[in-house]
Amino acid sequence: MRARVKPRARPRPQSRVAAKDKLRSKLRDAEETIEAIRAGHVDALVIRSPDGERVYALETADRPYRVLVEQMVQGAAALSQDGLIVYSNPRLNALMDVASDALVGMPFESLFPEEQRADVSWLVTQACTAPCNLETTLRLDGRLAPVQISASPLGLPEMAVVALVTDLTAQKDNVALVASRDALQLADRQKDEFLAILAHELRNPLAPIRNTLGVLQSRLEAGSEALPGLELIERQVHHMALLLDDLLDVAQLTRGKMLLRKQRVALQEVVELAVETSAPLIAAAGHELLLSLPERPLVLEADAPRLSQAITNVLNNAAKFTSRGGRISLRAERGDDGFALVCIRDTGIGISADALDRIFDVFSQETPPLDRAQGGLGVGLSLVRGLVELHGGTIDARSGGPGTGSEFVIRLPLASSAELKASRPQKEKAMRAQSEPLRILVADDNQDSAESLALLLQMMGHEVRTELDGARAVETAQAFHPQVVLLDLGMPQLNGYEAARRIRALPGGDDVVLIAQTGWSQPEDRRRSQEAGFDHHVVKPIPSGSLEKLLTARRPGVVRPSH
Amino acid sequence: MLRLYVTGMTPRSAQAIANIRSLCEEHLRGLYALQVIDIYQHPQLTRMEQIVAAPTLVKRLPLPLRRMVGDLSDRERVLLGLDLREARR
Repeated sequence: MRARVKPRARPRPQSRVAAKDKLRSKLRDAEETIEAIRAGHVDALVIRSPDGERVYALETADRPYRVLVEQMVQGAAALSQDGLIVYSNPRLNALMDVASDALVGMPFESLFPEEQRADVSWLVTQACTAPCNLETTLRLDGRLAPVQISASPLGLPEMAVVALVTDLTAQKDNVALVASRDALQLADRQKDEFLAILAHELRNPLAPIRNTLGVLQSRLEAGSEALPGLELIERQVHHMALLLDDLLDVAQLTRGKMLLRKQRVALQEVVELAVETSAPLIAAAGHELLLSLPERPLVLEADAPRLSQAITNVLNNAAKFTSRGGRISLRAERGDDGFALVCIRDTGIGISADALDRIFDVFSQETPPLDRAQGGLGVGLSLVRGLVELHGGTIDARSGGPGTGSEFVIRLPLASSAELKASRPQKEKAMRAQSEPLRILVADDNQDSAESLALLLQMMGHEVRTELDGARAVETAQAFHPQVVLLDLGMPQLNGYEAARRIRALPGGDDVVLIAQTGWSQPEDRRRSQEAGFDHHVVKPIPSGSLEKLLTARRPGVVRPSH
Repeated sequence: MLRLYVTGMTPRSAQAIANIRSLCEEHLRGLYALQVIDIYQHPQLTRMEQIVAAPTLVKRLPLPLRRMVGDLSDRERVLLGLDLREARR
């Protein structure tokens, strides 16, 4: 009798159901996977292989990568171990100007000029093991272009190396552009420096010319036929001095070297100063000037002489570009948002629309002024803009076109509080009558300058000695005991500063009026001469009226004993 | 816990990723962890879970383990597969 095997307890119904469910879902998953593959809903299959799983992509999955390689901006080629091209992308084909498969099978280095081939060949060999780069040249569109080849190993049996070719022309052009821009900027700065030196040098001859003119004029009798001629020369010399001043100013401005001495000043005062300066020109042209200024002072932080120079320039322009008997109106008022406005309108020849853009540019002169004798360098308006902007303001030009007149609007920021300090310059006190003769020593290494000045002074009734260098000047000062010494600053042997110090050191030296003469007029130059002990600093050429005043003025606080 | 096996940057992969993400945000907010694996980069990870084709979504937890092949755009099917819906009889 067989032992009765106790049957295993039947699995409980729930676990049997659960097991069946599990099987069912597994089967369902498997079926769905096969269905998805057959329906083409997959990108790739994973295949077992001796050295790990391999992903076999279906064609559609490859597409993005293909497109990437085909469209990218660099030329790309896949190379075999022997350096032959097995694939070249469309960009490389385009660079080499060939049809699609034409490069396949060719050695990569054959794409490059003869002399580069050894390098390229070496690159390909290196790239089988490690990435490397080479900068070389390639013939593109008939020119030799700089290119970079980046090559890396691919590690596939049929493709050993991928080489990317990038055209560096654009990059190199950029570098060249930057270099030429830098060179241009340097040349521009050098030009500005040159202009400054030029203007300064050109002033020197003006001094002796002016002085001699003074002499000649005083020698002639009134009514002499030569007088009008001399007056013409004087006007022209004056005009030239103005031109040079303008040039110097503009050179200073563009080099950023203009220093302003700002103080609280009323706009009204500045305008009045400007009008005073322009009045002769306006009157000579037969124009009418209408002024409209507010009662309450408009307070600015400004360098009054410079700002009035700007307004004068605009007024002069209005006068020059308006035919005889025209009208110029200047209106100053408080604008909104903390600005003051100065509007200068004229009934002149106007400004054309495209000239309006360029009108403030240096050296632009659209039409010559109506009176050729008043022609300028075309720097006036650019000076104005520079000066206005240095004061934190703006200037605009408006015109309805040729023949309709022009309007210039200057906006200037008002000072923060409305207080106005009394800032009138102190008037120099003349402590001696002009007619009293003085002993004067003139020192200048330029003989013409020295002699012409001496002659002028003698005509004024003074006793004059001249020396042509600083050392001799000090010696003569010791013997001659001049009351006034005029020293040119740039002398050889002993320059003006040193000569001044030595003369001061002489007994009685403190009483001497020392006047520095020079072509340099910057504030730093004035400070230097003040420190060296000069009483005054004048810029050549000195107008004769100023000369007389200077001869009798003194440093404040020093009392002059009467001789 | 879900794992999605994809092949790099194919459109289907992108689709699958987008679909499963939006589905999870809508139905499983805060209750899911999704891992995306690029089988081009890590082919060896396919062996463990017997991945045959891509894209494949595998639900590892809660058990039972389920898998789905395709771009997962049939939402009902996906929800069903994730046991978030009752199968219609």
